[in-house]
Amino acid sequence: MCDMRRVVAIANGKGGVGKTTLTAGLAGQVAAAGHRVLVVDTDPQGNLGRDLGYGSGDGNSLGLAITHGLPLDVIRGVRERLDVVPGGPSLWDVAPAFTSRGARGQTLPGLRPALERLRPAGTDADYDLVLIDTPPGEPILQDLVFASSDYLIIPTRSDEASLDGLVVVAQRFAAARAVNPDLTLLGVALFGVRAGSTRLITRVRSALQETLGGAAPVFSTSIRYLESAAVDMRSRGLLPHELAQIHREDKSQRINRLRQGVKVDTGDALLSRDSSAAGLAGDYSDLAREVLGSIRTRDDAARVEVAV
Amino acid sequence: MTGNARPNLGGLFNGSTPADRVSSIAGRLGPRLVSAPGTPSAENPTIEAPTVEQAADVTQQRTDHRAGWIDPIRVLELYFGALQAALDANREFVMGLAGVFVTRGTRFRDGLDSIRTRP
Repeated sequence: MCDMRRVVAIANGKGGVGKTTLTAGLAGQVAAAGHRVLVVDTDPQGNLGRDLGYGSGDGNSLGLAITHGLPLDVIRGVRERLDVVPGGPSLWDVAPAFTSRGARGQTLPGLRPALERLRPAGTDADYDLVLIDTPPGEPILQDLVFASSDYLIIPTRSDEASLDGLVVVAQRFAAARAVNPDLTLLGVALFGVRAGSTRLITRVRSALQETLGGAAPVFSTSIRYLESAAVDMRSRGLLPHELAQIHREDKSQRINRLRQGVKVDTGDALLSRDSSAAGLAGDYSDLAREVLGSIRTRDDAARVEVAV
Repeated sequence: MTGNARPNLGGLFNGSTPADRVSSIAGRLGPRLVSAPGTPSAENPTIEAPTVEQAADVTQQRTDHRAGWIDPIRVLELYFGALQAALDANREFVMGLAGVFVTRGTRFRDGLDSIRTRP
């Protein structure tokens, strides 16, 4: 389908704005659409494992790849066409290693060489998309990710505090361009807004566009806030489109139970409603299309520049 | 995010405003490897970007959040659940009542028998 990978960092200077959830949801959606996807979790908390349902990692392999250039351990086939480099507590050691070896005038390999060597299993083709989830409070890890990425997506919530995170990431982004001049802001994604609050979304989007000063778009798709769906997904390691699928299957099972007069055991029931889950899955699907479309537009623009 | 005083970050993102800090890893990264085949390169303008059409294939049938306010299956489940609970309670009550009558009837008969058989 495509011979060229794009590396996209998901970052914000503030925690709790949906970076990990967005990374998992986008990765799952793009992989389900037939693209080969690699997700890299650079967060020492390693929460991506909950979203994707592969459990927890120690981040040791990723840490050693960054500091010593060792090969990365990859969890293959987390979903069809979706591989993961897990994060974990060992990544806390990366910043001290950079500081101490930097003080001695030594250089470290960083993230990019290890990523460039990685290929999907069983095919000569490369990954189409590499998504990197970043921790909010680790400047060195964020800078390493920015040095290895082509694009940046900033998830943000609708509250004032999220703006502070945007300022932090803007400064970090500008500094990173001295190391990686190709880094481009792909867009800002509004995350965790209550469904149906159209006026709020319009106002926040307008404020964000003003803040960005035309440097990048605010994606027109926002990801809705659904606590019950979030609990269902994280407790079962499901992605939004998988939760929607389970709801569809669950619906027919419940009808059958009613027909047969079997008593309903509500202990293991899903907390979310099927319409909510379908709406959430639709958000991610729309956002994935916007992100891929935006990458294509940016690439086309780059080609024109090269041709000129 | 709806306040009046907002910073304009456009310059930082498009490179026209310099950062007020230096990247924490500047000068600490080793030399970059030669790009592996297929990695992004401005000199390779013929490669196609990921297409968006396939993403559309997996687009869920989007249901309006508000349209699903009442879940008919849930209503049926609640209705049959309540009906079942009422029937269960009714059965318990009637069986309990029957038990009382049977017990008292047996005692009454036993009493009569004991009177009859008294010497």
